[in-house]
Amino acid sequence: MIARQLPAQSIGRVAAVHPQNGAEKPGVADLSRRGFEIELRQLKKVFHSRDGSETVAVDDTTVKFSASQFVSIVGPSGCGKSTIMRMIAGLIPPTSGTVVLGGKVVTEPSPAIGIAFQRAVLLPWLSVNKNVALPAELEKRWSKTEIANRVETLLDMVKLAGIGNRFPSELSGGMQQRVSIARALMTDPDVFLMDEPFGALDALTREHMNDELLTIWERSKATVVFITHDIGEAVYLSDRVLVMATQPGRIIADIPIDLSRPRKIEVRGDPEFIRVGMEIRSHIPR
Amino acid sequence: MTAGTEKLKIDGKRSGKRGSEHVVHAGRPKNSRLTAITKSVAIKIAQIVIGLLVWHVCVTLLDVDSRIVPAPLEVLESLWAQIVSGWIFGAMWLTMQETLIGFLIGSVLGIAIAVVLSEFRLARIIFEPYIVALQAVPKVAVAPLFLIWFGFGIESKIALVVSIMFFPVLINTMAGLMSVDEEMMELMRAYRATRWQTLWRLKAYIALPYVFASFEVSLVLSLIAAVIAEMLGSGTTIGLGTLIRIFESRVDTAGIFAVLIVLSLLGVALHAAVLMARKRLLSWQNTAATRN
Repeated sequence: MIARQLPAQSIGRVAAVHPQNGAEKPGVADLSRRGFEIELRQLKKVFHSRDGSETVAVDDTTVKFSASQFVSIVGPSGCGKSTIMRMIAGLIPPTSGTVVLGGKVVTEPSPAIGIAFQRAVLLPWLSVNKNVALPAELEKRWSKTEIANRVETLLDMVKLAGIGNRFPSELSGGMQQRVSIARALMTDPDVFLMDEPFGALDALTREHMNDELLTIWERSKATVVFITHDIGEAVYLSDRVLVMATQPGRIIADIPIDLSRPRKIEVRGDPEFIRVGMEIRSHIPR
Repeated sequence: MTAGTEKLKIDGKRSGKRGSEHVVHAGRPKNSRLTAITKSVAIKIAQIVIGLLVWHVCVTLLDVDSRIVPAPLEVLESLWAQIVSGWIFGAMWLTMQETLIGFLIGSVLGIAIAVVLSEFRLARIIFEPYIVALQAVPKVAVAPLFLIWFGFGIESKIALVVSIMFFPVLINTMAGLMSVDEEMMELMRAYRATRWQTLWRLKAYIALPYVFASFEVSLVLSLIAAVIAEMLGSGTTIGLGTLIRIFESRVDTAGIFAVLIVLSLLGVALHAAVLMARKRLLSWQNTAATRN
């Protein structure tokens, strides 16, 4: 409740107080248009297995995500969705081609990126507060008060206010995942990468988390790349859905979602919602 | 006396059952917790007394020569004599010094080398063969060398302790440092952690349970090594190992048994100390374990 009453710029607040933080980000003053543009140029990733065979995880992919866009990537398992995300994150180098993030070629993990994985991957020896604060602590250019304030804001936003002193093992799976999302937002990223973050949650928690994510995104205006195998989730959240096929991993469809925002649960019954869902489904081989 | 033991035994059994039921409910009142502790102590005492009785009965019934296996009363008598004379305390102090200093040096060395070897691939490639070769050497066989190098004082004992307890610590710590979850490593990389940040904020915590597992073994190993070192040659300093050699030369079996009892008590105490330290330092792990 409290989170909803906060001004829309609350996410950008830290950036505003922190000139250093803002200096690297073009247009940080204009809080309504933040987020980086992401460009994949003839991106290719080939994995070599031990027996000498090659797997083309991502084949010659060229695509552009405009700033502040919410893009989902769907496809069968093993189609290279995660590989694309990890190349955008700078965690693995492409075999050929480049990822361009806000005008810069990605060669290593960028400070502009927040990332949430399929599993929450919280550090069990740190309290929730410390887990959320981790990315900022690693950056070393935040003051203690800045960190504490930001952690509080974020936990509030993911509806976990007041549990900061608990440990991950004391939380449910859904709560852990929300902590990991708060952590991903800690450094106020321009690009938010999510690799099936709700895959392990039950359907109800998942729907709730979808709404939370939309609220967070609408406020932060980060560019979101969201990987999922749930078509309904992809349609509900996104401005645009990319469908991938496997062997070689490639994008076979690029479908804009023209449902109005803000979206509520009722949109799932909208004929357009169902039509787009079926269209996406038709691209995925059985 | 027998009646008393009987009573203790029965009480002990009953309380044992109750005690285990109580464990399920956390946060019981302090009073019942106190009685639970008294009861568990009572069980332990009963166990000791029964063990001594069986020992006594066997020795007297089979008419064993006291130079082969002495009766428990003779051992206790000898122990008492050593306590009164103060001998045993001097010997304990020396042996504990050797054990703990050796343990400290060996642990620091083992952990430091493990960090270097796991962080730097080149160091691993260069030094691993030497470490494997050194590890294969029976350390006790090197003890005479330590005597030559470090003399008959405390230094040669510490050297043997270090050489024996170092490898379990090194190898366990390395295993711990290398067992870091790939996802967690990816997380640290995604948030641009430096090598040292990754080491101190992630790997150290992952390795800690492994380090403690090695401590459990190596602290008791250190005590054993100290005693062996003393038995192999110790000039004028008298530790517990030396004491055993002295009693041996007098065919004072009861004396040897008395020292053995002290040694096993020390071993149990050291082990308990490691377990306590582990429980404190790894409390996050305990809560994770109870949850699952």
